[in-house]
Amino acid sequence: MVYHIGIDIGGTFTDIILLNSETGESFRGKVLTTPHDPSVGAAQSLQESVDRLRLSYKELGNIIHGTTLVANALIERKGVRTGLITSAGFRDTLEIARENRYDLYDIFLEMPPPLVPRSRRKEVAERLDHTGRVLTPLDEAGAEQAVKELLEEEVQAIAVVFLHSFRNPAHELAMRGIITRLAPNVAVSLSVEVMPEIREYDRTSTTAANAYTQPIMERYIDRLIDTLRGLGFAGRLYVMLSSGGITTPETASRYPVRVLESGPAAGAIAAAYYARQLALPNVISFDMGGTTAKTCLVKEGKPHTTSDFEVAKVYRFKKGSGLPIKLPVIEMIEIGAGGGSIAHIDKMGLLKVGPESSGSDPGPACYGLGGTLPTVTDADLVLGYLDPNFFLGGEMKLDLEGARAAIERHVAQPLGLDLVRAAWGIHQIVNENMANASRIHAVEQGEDPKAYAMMAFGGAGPVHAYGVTRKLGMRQLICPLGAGVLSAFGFLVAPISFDLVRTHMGRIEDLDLEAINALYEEMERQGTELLLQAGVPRREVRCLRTCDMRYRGQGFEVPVPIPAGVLRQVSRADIRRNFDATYEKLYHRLNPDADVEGVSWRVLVTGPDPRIARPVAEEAVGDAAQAIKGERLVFFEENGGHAPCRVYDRYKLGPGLSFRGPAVVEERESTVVIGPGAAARVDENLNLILDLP
Amino acid sequence: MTTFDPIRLEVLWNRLISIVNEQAAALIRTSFTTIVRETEDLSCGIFDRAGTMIAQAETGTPGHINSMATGVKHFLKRYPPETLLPGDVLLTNDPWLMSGHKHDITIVTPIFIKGVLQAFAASTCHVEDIGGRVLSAEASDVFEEGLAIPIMKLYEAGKPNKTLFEIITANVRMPEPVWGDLNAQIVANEVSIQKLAEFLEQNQLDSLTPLANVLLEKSEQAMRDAIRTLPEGSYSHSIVVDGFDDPLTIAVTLHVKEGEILADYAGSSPQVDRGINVVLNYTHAYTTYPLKAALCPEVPNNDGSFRPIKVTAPEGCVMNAKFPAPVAGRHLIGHMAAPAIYGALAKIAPQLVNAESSSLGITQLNGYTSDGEIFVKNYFATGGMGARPTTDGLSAKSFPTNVQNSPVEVTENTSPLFISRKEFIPDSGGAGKYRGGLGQRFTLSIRSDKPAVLSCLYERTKHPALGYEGGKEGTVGAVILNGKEHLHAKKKHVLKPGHEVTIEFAGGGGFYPPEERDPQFVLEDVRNGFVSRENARRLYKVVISEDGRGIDEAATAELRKGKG
Repeated sequence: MVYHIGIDIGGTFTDIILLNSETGESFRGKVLTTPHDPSVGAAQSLQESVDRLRLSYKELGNIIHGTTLVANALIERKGVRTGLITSAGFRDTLEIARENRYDLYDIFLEMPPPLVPRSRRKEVAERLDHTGRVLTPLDEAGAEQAVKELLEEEVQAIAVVFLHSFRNPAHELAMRGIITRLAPNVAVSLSVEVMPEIREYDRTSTTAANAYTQPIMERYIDRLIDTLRGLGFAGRLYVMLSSGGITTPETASRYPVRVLESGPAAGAIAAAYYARQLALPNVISFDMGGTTAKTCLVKEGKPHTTSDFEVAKVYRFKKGSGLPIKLPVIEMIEIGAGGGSIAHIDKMGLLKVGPESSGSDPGPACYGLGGTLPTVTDADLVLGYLDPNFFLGGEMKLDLEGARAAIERHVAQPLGLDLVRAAWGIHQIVNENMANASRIHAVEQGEDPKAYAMMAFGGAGPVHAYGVTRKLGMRQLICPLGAGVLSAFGFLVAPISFDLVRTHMGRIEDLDLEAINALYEEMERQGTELLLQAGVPRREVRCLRTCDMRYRGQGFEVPVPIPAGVLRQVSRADIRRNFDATYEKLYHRLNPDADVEGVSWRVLVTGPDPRIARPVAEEAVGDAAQAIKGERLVFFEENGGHAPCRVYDRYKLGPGLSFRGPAVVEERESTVVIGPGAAARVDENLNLILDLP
Repeated sequence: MTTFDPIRLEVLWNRLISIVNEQAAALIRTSFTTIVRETEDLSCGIFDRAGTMIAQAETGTPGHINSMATGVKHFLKRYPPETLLPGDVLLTNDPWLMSGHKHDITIVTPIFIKGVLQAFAASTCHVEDIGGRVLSAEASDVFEEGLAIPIMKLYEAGKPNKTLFEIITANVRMPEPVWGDLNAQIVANEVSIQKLAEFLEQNQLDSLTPLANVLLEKSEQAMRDAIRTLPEGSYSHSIVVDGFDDPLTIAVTLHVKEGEILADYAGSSPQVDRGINVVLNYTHAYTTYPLKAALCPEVPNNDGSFRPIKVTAPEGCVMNAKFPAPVAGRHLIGHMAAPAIYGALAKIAPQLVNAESSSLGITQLNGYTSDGEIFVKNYFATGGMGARPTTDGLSAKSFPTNVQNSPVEVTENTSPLFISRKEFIPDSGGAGKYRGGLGQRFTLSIRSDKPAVLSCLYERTKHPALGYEGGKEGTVGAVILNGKEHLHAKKKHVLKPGHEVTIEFAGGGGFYPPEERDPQFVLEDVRNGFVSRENARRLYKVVISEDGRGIDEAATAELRKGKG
């Protein structure tokens, strides 16, 4: 018997899933996160599960892990004291950034402060041209001086970013040699290793973020491994990448920025897994928690990845107000719409919801913890979607009167609406915001959401998914079992994979194929080696190549599939055809006369999909009527107000059962709201599948 | 008037914004020039049947956004609705009708839904080249400034106007990027047509007009309410800027009355015989923008929000130049409407405005690569923004326009430009309790064996950005050849292979007297090299210890007691 384990460390809770790979049984646990040393909570969750299931550590296989440690260090600015060494003349690149204000009209906005202040940014004489040719050799004496000055500033980490280094790493490598010689204990991040891609501000920002968090991540991973070994764990530990693959703890320790979004990525991976299982190739995943909602497009069973990402946005989730991290990440759109989002009336007299959130302290008015402002959760409670006595399975009582008072005072009275209409307005606006974000997200990728099914998870996801799905004109909504720990489950379904990239610019017609072949050979060898070390048999290694390409003169690329094997003269035509197909899908019109060029050559080196058995219902009943636990008044627009509505116990709904809306289905971590006219059924994987009218 | 409940209205408004943002995203991602896709010198929007601006994408430059807002009506005068057909694509670069110089091309596409003209999609982009004497302030009339395209049909019922295609191709130095961007604009307009049709159908609206009317009405009302928070009266301010050779005065009087503002530029200098004159449409754009930013930044930027603001300027003055005045470098003077207006507003509401800012500079190079290929490259950079009454000004951020830079690595990969440094200028931010943003400098040379032409378009090289309420001015900018020779900041110069030119951008003005600045902030500025120890002492009256790491508290107290 082998158990695979997923552990997801979030801001409040550490979730664990143990999956028996033979029986398909899964076991969930939740402990409070231990912020001073998150490895303590992780170990505790594991020990508790092992005790509860009476397992021996020998029965444990892989642990796959995700953590918000890196994201939190960046958001809360709690990384190590970091220095930056740049090409002479460019120490201010990190702070000059792109020279624009991220909001045109707010002249009082603040930019995110740079992770490395100017006093710890040093320059070294050296320069490459745009082809990587050395124009000015590295000034070694100046380099030593820069390091000494940074040591006087007591830095624990140094980032090195030289212009055009991705075309020739020699100077950055030499710089590392000098740093390690003078300061063996200082962590070094080279831009050519962290993010070997064009655009110096993005590369500097990404490399600085890596340096800033690297010693923290390394200490954490070391401690986690020690603790696990101390418990007797003898299996392998992996960490999830933001791109959805998994990686070794060594790689995660060196490149923490690659695992920044490990939790949300796992959620999207889980959604993709369910999509494949359901033979539904196209799914929009919708993950709504306390402060934000994230949606991700799963196309042909795969989530879309991007390299255009920002962390720690300082201003209302607005693009441009965060720190760019230009590394592969599962493309998600995140908006400030969660259960805790606050409703208010703006200067135009319009009702707005979010992005400000009440968080967990003081929380929504209905938490009774001192919050007085109306939130989405308050509206959901007033509308009857939530049961005041069954929140978190009854662990937390909700204050309905508090919710009513908050909405009455701050929304209903100012707008001259009755209480229920006001609550419905809040619910509807937050749904509209999320529908809009999902729509833009889909359309940006040339996709019509109507061709997709919705998949909902996160604590608040299934409460709002029905409304969001309808607004998008989508017809099918899937609510997997155990929405609250879906991310942890995502760790268990991901194949081990490594994403490698090199920049090499050239027109298709005159690409140096020998050089491209050499790049691919090197990347694929490097990636394969990593997989072999991780225990993947050589025959199971797959390499998927793409190249970011564009019309010559354009600056944004589209990801174009590149043929496997050695590229020859004839491959040029194949590449052009692949480009045309990709481009036309996005923008409908081709420029047949324009040249096409390649920029970044990528390869995803990946192992096999893990085999995972399906879950089983524990308390399934024979008839949907037997799963009804009661009835309460619930608001549906179609009914013109509150009307009696059946409440189902999710754990009693076994495969094959079906019923119709209106209905509310409760499980411990969430509630599924089903409108009138919708048909609900439970599939063999215990997913609740809704067909909308 | 049709009514919409507040919730539905919010939903519909968000949808319209998302449609124009999708239009802008398609334009940026398919553009062929760094000026559009890196710098984002563009605008995208939807207009109703009468050419009234309803919604615009959140992109970078009010010069395009707000002039397009008032300019689309001109297309309808030339081509009344009954003369338009599905598949038509209209364009112009007329400076007086649109955004003030020929380098901006506006493309307007009528939106027919089920055979009925419902709306217009429009976008304006700065083209890499329009012929003539390249982008330069040196022309003596507009005819020298390149190809003029009156309002015309580029496509008629889907059929290309081949004559016009050939004329444009024959007149510009780099036809590929010019056509690449024009195609990107056409594609982007098509995106918004498709989305708007879906929008009307999904929301069961027969026409955009009733919805548009409600939105415009609400925005107008919000703007009027914001204006009413100001005391009524007339407030004047004038500033002096570099001009071409001789300084120019920009004078404005804000007449605030009954929820409206009339901004009148009487008293401004007469138009000049060099290409820095501003057309009224552009003056209007840079009047409405700073007023909206100061008074109600969150109100939707549509025609309604402009209605309570009227803009006048005597014909023939530099803010309302008469045809055929040269206008290519109109942004240099046009952007200065913002500090003139804020100076007037500061007299009644200093808490709403920022001190004077630097100026966006365009560096244009053209010539030949070593391989003999022709090239034109526009490179944008800026100095410091003026301090705010509650916080420091932003360093190297542009105001009032808001374009991005093109990364040095991208610039060097797409042109023979070589940039050997790009950095803040210490002590450039105006001293104040809140310091002005720092200016920056970059040093440029050409990687070609042939000389190139450097066209300079810079302001604030003689007249600094002033501080407010006791704040000091920032330093001025400069154009310096080979580290010694100061060049004219608005002329063309030859840049020989091996020569280097350094462009310095001004710092922003400070806010409140520098002696009021928290000494800890001064120390931090000294540690970061933003302010020198000497200036800390001289301007801020803070004595920093010799190692630069601490404050000499006693000496500081003594100094501040004496002067403070």
